Amino acid sequence: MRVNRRDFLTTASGATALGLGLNLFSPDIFKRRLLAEPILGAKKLLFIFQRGGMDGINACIPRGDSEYNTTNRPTLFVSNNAVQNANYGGTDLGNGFAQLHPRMAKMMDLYNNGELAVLHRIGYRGQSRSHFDSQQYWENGTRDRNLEVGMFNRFVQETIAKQGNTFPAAAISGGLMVALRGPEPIPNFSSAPKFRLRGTAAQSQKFLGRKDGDGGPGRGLLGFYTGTRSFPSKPYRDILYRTGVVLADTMQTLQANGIDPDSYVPEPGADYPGGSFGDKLKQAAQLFKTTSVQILGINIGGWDTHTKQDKAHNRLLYDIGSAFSALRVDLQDQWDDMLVITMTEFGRTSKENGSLGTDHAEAAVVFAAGGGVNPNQNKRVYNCDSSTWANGDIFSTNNGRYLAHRTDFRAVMAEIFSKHFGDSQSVIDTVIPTYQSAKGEDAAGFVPLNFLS
Amino acid sequence: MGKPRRTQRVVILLGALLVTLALTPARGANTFIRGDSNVSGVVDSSDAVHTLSHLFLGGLPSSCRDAADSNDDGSVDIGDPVHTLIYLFRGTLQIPPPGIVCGRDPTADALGCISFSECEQGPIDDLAKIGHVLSRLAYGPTMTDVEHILDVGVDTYIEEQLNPQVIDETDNDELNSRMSALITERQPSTDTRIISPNEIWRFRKGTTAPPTSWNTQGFDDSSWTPGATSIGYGDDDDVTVLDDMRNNYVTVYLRKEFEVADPAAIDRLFLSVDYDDGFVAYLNGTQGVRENVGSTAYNATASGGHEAGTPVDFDLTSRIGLLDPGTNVLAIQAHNTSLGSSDLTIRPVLIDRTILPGPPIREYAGIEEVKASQHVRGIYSRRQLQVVLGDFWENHFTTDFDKVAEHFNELTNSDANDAMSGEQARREAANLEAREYEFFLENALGNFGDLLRYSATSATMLIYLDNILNFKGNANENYTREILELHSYGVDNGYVQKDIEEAAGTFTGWGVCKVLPEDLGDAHSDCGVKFEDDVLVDLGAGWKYLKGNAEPTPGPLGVPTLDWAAIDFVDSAWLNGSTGIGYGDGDDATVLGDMRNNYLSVYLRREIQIPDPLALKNLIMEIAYDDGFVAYLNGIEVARSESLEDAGSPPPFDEDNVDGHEVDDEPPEVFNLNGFIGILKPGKNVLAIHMLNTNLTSSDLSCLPIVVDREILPGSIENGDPNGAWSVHFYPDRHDYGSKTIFAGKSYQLGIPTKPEGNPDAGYADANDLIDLLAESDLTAEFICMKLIRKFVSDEPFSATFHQIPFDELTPYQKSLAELLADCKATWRSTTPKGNIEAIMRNILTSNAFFDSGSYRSKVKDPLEFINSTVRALDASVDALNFEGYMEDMGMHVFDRDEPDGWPETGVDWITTSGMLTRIKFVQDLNASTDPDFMWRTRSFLAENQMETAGEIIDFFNNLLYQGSLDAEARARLVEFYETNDSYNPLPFLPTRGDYESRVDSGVSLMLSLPQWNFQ
Repeated sequence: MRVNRRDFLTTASGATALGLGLNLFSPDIFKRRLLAEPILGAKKLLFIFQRGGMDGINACIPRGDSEYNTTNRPTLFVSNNAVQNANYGGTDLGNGFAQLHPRMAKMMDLYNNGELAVLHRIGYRGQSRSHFDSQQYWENGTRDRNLEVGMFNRFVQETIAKQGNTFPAAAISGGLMVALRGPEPIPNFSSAPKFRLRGTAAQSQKFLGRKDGDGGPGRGLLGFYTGTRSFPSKPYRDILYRTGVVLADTMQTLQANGIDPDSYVPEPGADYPGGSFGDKLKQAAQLFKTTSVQILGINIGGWDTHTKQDKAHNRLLYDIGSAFSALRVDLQDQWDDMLVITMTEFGRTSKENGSLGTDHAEAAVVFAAGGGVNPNQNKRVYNCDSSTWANGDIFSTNNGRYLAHRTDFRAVMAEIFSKHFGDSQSVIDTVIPTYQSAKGEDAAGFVPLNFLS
Repeated sequence: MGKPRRTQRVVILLGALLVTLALTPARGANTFIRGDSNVSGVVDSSDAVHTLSHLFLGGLPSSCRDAADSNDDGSVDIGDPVHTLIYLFRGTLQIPPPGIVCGRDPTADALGCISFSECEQGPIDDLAKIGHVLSRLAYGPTMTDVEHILDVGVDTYIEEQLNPQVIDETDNDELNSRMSALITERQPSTDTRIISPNEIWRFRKGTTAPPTSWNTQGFDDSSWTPGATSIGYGDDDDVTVLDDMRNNYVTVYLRKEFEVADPAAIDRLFLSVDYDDGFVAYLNGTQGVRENVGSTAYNATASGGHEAGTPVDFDLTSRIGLLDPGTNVLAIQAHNTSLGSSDLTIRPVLIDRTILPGPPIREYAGIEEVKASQHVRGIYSRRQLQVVLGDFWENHFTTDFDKVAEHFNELTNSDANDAMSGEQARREAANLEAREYEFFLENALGNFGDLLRYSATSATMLIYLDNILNFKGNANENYTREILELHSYGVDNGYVQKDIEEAAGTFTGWGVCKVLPEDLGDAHSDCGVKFEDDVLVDLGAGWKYLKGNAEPTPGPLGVPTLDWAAIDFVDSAWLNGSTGIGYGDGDDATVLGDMRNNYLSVYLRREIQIPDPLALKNLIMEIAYDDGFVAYLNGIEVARSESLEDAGSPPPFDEDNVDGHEVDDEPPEVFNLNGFIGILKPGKNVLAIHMLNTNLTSSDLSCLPIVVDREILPGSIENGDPNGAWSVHFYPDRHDYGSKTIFAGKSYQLGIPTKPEGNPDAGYADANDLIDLLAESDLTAEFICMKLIRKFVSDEPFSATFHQIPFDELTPYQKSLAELLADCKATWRSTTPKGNIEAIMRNILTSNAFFDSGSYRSKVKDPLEFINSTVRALDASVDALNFEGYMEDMGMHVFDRDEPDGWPETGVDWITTSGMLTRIKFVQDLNASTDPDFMWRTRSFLAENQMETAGEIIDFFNNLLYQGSLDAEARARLVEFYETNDSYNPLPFLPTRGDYESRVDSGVSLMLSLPQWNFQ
């Protein structure tokens, strides 16, 4: 049985917030609750960052390149039989060239419905093979390893926050990823039910106190975080004060909406992966359904497969496939406004190394799914067909060690900002500060893929 | 006149400092630009608007009321914006001193200036200095340290901290007792096994009572069943499985004869038993050990439960007299708790243990204790700078405990059995992490080169960054990249990808090996395990084989059977062959030229003559293969490849569920088959192997098996030996002796000539020459100096800042940082050897930049700093064993970070909602807890520091933690918090009330949850 959203909210605010005495912010609770509701027609984005560098050649297999073979990949090579095997669903992408790894078969329904785009050979000029640096670049949208302002933070600052959304974005993660870091404080948490202070409701309410001017002078913790910043202005002062306020607001939002992966009942048929990755996906779905959040980020680790890649990678690919499939079912009512993407800092060596694994390389694979994906039946695989991939291209750069990029990751992000969120070029130039300069140096890398319609 | 009591004295001294400060309410950098109400750096009309907005529209007041007081009349009112506007637009009024430049207020008034960032330059005052020094050199202020600095002065304190050896820790009871609680001591010893695990015993099921003489030397056990230990069922931990025991019988009788030449030569005698649930052990018929056993009747259950997994040592030294020269017998009756019990295990090992002289081995029980030790030192050690720096180096050369433990857990001994339990693997990994951490601590102020060399040769680093997998022809670049990128030069600083590829060659052959403790660190020590193999099946002739076009012996409906593998199967129609058998990769003596595209399976059989199975020491099969195999002895499956994990039992001839596996991937796989000795017959036996290819089109198939009877010779250090030590080891045959050119074309190019193959010293020198070059390089100097300045002075100086911005365009504060960086690099070059950390740290800690107000409280605490400083501020009593969860929730799990780059130093990385929530919870939990190993002793702390009222408590912590910087508004808010109930209604705050202590705790929690407490 599906719970009507209105019923659910009534239950949440009545039974959870008031009945259990958790009305931390009453009497403003109802006002805030309304603000936190989903905004009709607002576009949403979930990004899943695959930490460590996913082996794109194993995820989206370039079968049409004869160098993809057992000589170059003795233990990682996936036979055509395995891909075509109907028992596993069959993961041939139908363009006579590209195939998904058989363990990603759960994504094939989306693909066949025109809701999944597979973007191969995504990277940037002067690719860094350092995890840290390349993650920084992908997340802050520039080639500046020291920039600690993430692309999505800037995006929230420029657009969503200005539109008055009080809960624009969050990371469902123990740490706040760089993509969401910056002057706009964005909350992060890995488990919503644990996101609360010590003590009884009355004790924690006193401890939190109230914001300055919220019915009187500030009191308690919030009094300090909203009052005079009685402390010299240093680089992180203001973000720290504001983060304290966001912390209090987020605790309230999560509690009021009963966000909890253990009690959450997804739509029938939404089969989430297990473990903490699955719990995070469930919380993301619940937040998209019940709050005004528009951008959520999740990390999934384990992709740095230097040794014995085969089985570990298979499990990870399976989890990614399950994630897309479950989100599609669970967020069916939101799907027209949804976009789910994966990001990863680089692809891996086209040749298997001596430890049954692969090392850091260049071009990566990005998956993008949602109601706005270009349903073009002939072309939902990008940069992985006979017109974009010459035989032997898996060894196309760095003295034949790596797969070269064709499209800059910033072009992919720009397409998301312009087509999905409908933003102007000037917003893109602000959100991705190096967009124009990088485009000047690598015009081919910025030709739009048009994977969104 | 005696010295005043400690606490009185501190209060007096702090008080005296604060009296001076009270005259000028503006604290710290109390300079400002008059008229600049909005603290923008210039006086313009927006300042007038700012003040008007505050006065009439409810806008925020200026953070610098002195600045807003444009006419310097001692109050902020309508006259001030008017004054500013007249100054700006008519020019008939001037701005009173200090005027429109940074300066102090010459007029005594009640106004203050909390924040004026534009003016914050120049040195900070004395009280701020104390707070600053204790927040950077140390893990935050304590009353004791504040008092000490007031006594000796800041300069002397810094000099003491730079020379930690002069600071006496012998009477530091809290440190010493908390540390010793984390460490256990064990006398080193060597064990000689008289009876090893996996030896063949004789056993008899306890279905009836045996003759009473069953446990004596003279008893004839030839009718009993032979079987290797451990013996039992359930839990998958037994070699000889008693699959009929459950619900049928509750005891098992075991006997083992063993030889002792001279009992008097045995130092200590230990019986080490892994057991589930109880047993009685007899030496030559006399009881030696009895555990969990009441009655010894054949049908008596154990008197208590015990789970196997960790062997327990029983000291039988007092029973050595029972032994005879020559043959003796160890007899054991094992008891289960009940007939229906899910498992039973017995694995006895008899050990002659020689206790070695020398100091006891200090060991941490696990990684939790190692993590706690880091906090205990950080909180209680007086050598604060040494600990702060030690933690810095540990983070710089970070390694991942989990990966090391996992590596150990997968090791085997030379008898092909698991080298150690998971618990031992974790303990050994934890102690290696501790050994590495303690080296960094002890050498925290020493020479950088020593740290770099230690890290490169540390077993944890070798395992963590895969240098142990770096072989000639199969280089693994993981460590090589990181030593350049993260440990010495810094990312993309002076090297290119080609340099990494060349440099990786220098490290080929590096690995780890367990050695005698005295050989630790000797990369060329003799670390191989010595054994003798009696070869039962060698590569070569003697095999029969059948091409797998169909099932060799199909059962009903064509299902596969194992009849073909049975001892008496007639294989005369099969072909004759020699191993290796296969095709495609040149390693085959018998080539199956027609296999590709035709058939997936090959069946092999070979006769083995074993005159006396019970005389076997260790029956071992080594097999190199492509892609999968199942091996059978006399028709019983004894081994299979992981690639066939998901295949059938037995797999059919056309099994298609075979993963790939190459002969060259790994050393041949080794299987200990002792558990199957019981199925062997004296004389003829048959080894049968079913080989499978991954698919019909596969380019190759291989099968290269050998079978040996292996005797492990005494004196070897096995992987699992608890007395051994993990050391760097150089494997000469894995090294690439070819020439290498690293940093080609650079002024610091390193050319390594071709060296003679197999010369260990020359080969090992390759990478050591590279490390020496890195350790003294100017590029390293810049990278390390930069990191130290970021750690101790300011986050701001990113390398990019100084490389990209011309010096002239830097702010004065940035210039002081740039000058400090240049000074540090010069100091690095000036010492012998280069890179002396004490000298560099002296440079940093006495610099203008360090004491500049731009540095003061400019850095965000990381979780380690937050936790340690919180405990120190409260002088709380902690064993730190419960800190791990908080650290993880704050996002910092020290010793098991996956990524090699270490925890970040920049503040923005630690400002997150989840991190902040956990910080507050930690403070709340510590205040509320009554656990003696995790508590703040509220009452005694208040008494010792002579405070009672809300005002006294607030002032004390304001002075100790915030150098008196909390203003009247903050103070009033805190007083309100203390003196009200949960609904903020007034409630007396009195020591006589029952709620006093919990309200103190709650108020102090709030004071330690302020935004300011996140800064240092």
